Amino acid sequence: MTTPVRSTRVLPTNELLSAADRLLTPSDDTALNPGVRARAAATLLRLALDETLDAFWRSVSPRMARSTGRTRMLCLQWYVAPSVARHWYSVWSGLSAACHYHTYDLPPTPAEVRAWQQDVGELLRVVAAATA
Amino acid sequence: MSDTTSLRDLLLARLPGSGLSAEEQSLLHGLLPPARPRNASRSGTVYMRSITASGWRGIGPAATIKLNPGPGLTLVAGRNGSGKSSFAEAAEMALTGDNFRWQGRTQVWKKGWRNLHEHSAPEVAVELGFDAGSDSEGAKEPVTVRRFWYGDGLEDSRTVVEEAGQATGEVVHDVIDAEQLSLYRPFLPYTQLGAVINGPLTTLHDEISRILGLELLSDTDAAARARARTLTDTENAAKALTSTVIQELSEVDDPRAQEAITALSGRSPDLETVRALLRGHGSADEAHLARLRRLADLERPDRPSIVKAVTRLRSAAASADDARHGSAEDARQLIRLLDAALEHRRRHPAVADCPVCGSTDLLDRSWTERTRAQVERLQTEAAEADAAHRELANAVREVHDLMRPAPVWLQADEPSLAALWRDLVACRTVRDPRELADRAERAEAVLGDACDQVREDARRRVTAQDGRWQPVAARLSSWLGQAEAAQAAKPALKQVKAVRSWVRTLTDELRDARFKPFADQSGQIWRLLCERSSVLLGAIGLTGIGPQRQVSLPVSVDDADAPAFGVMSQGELHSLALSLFIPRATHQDSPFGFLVIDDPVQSMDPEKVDGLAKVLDLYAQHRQVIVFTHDTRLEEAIQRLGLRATVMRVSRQTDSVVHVASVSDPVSQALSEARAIALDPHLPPEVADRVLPSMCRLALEAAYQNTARRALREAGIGQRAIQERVTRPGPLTGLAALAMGMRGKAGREVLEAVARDHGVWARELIQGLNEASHQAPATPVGDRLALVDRTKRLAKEVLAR
Repeated sequence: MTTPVRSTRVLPTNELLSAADRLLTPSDDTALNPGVRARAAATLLRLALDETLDAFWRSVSPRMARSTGRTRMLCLQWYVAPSVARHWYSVWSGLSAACHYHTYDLPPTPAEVRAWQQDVGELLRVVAAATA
Repeated sequence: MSDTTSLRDLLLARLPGSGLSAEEQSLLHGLLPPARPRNASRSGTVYMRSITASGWRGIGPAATIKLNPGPGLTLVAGRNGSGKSSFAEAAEMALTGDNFRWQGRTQVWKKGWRNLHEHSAPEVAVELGFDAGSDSEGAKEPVTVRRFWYGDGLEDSRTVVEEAGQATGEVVHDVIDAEQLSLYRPFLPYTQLGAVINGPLTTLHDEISRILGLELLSDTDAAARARARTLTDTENAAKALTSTVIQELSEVDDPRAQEAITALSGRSPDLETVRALLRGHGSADEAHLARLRRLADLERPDRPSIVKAVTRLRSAAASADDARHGSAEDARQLIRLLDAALEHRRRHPAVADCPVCGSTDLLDRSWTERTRAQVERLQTEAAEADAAHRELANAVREVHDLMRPAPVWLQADEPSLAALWRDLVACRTVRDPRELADRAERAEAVLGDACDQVREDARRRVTAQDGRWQPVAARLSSWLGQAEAAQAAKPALKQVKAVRSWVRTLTDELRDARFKPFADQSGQIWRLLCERSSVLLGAIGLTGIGPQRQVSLPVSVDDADAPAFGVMSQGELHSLALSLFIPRATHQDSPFGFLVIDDPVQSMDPEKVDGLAKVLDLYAQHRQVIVFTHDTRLEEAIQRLGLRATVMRVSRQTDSVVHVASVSDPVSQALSEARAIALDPHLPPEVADRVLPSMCRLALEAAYQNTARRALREAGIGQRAIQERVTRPGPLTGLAALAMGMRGKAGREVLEAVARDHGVWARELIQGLNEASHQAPATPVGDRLALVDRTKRLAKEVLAR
């Protein structure tokens, strides 16, 4: 991610979510095909998860920002409920798969990503509460 | 099956308040199928300890999958063609001798079951462990069911059952109830996933009904239906027989037949008349046959007596004639004359002259003597003549007496004969002995012959009529039996109807109540599998009766109702099949603790794989779930979701040499996660202090759980109790106590035992982990990798106990 001029925060988390929402429920004049919209929305949602988890770990220990993704995921269950941590990882994995191109797989559908959108909203609330 | 028993009890308990009459209640008792005893001689939940195959399908030399015989999830992964499905089929084949994959297949298909590379006889075997169950008889010996083939066909196989390496002489069905195997179907191969709902939903309905124990009700209803059919048949048969018998009767020339036809022809046949007819008291019988019977028994006048009397009469008459025409009467007069002469002589002894003729000297002494002798002779003659007259009078009376009148009825029955008889009787008026003798003789001769003729004729006719009547009577009496049965059937039919309607009401009520948990489980599985599907599955139900019965699967897409099979993707159809199958295979009454699913992941998208992992984990809490899978998606999902599972990998080398290797289990899973954390150089110490001891503790917990399960199982504890004890939250020492057979001992004692068995370091490790996970802020863990290594070492030692 290149962010030359403005600081680290391109968009606040809730704006990422509403942007994803706009992509998933487009007006009639959209020029984007559903596959592109779904993938873009998945990317935005994963970004929202990443940012929220980063913020969470910064509040626990700033050094965690340098540890691996797996470490952060595995450690999360000892700070929030294990079920939340597993769900987080499961949704995050799904979104990761969706926002990458795979030669063997079809792009996600907006309906699939919309289901994740609900999960993401819920997870963000739980983790944000743990951060405070 | 506990459900069936309790259903019977429930039904019987409801019976007094059912509103059914006493007869109907006893009818229902008779219709209830008898309580069925379990076939298999062994009780307790069955778990699989291992599956072995050789020369079977993709497996050449013998290969074995060892399984943990208790609840838990085991994943057997392997590429397509690695032989993993051969294991799944081997297990099913060993226990059932059949496999869904082979059913209905062509010979070509059926020939592919032998391994190409292994030329020894194919053999499959399953080692089974039996849960102690509720009877808690203590630990039970594992049993191996071995199936081997003696012929070329797939069917040419035999099983032996071995216990501790010794054949027990049982066959597989002594160990595993074949009927329950087909009822609960703990084997779910990929091919069947598609077929579950392709098959008729009526069959599925029946099978689920049986699982819910509702078969008792449907069997009862079927028995009632059969009874009703028998009763209706009885009624119809009687009706059909009536018209046949009427036809037959009309061809018989007999007044009784006529009367019977009248009795049979009414709207409801007159059984009483027919009964009377058969007893020989019919009114037609009275009139006609009684006459014939009387005539047949007619007694003619007694010929020998009459002949004798007539002969006597004739001789008496002749004697009387002789007496009259001879000197008998004259003698009497002469006696009087001579007596007077003798009197004259006595009074005049001196005079010898006759006062009548005037002769002299004639009436002297010698005359007196001669005359006296003559008078005596004449008196004798006169007495004889009197006797002849008396005899004649007697002879006449005798003949008169024999001319007896005819029976009174004869005039009405046979007038001509009665006329002849009157001629005979008329002889009584005849006084003249000779005429009487002649007429009596003649009249008797004529009457006697006529009587003989009439009687013989009547006898012949009675015999002839009885000869024709006999078969008709037999027919009529069998008709009577049928008609009586039909008459009895009418109220019985009404009773059966009442019973059926009550059973049906009860069925509806119980079906709904009993199916609900089943439907709830199906719904839960469906939701876990198809969280993001646009296809919604409503409340499934058992609906309809008779030929319309089925499992209803209300499906809607985007709030519009839709037929299930039109709108579902293959993955969704498979999910639906799993939703229906898993509650069935894991039903509480199933004796099978295991569930084998072959390749459920195929045609599932990633979301469903996550859902599947959750479903499998859910059921693995109480069942031994063994899943064969051809790719790593399920394994990844399980790891991602942090679910506990034992993973094995099957690989196949050339010449069908199959290897099974353990890849991971809950202990190694926890250890590898702990190691990954420990190896991350950027992990801040405060996080490591909090996280790493907890993760190491999880690994030890998994190890102790495993060993505790085994120890408890060997001590003969039932799986339900084991599961409850092992998963109860508590300190690590609690689990360690279970694993070391020190249940209930204080934590301090357990720790001492740990130090004794494994070394002081082990006790310190457990104490350290306990402190770290219960204190905040945590004590520093120090060397992270060393902590993980120590944990691994203790876990290994614990597992090796």
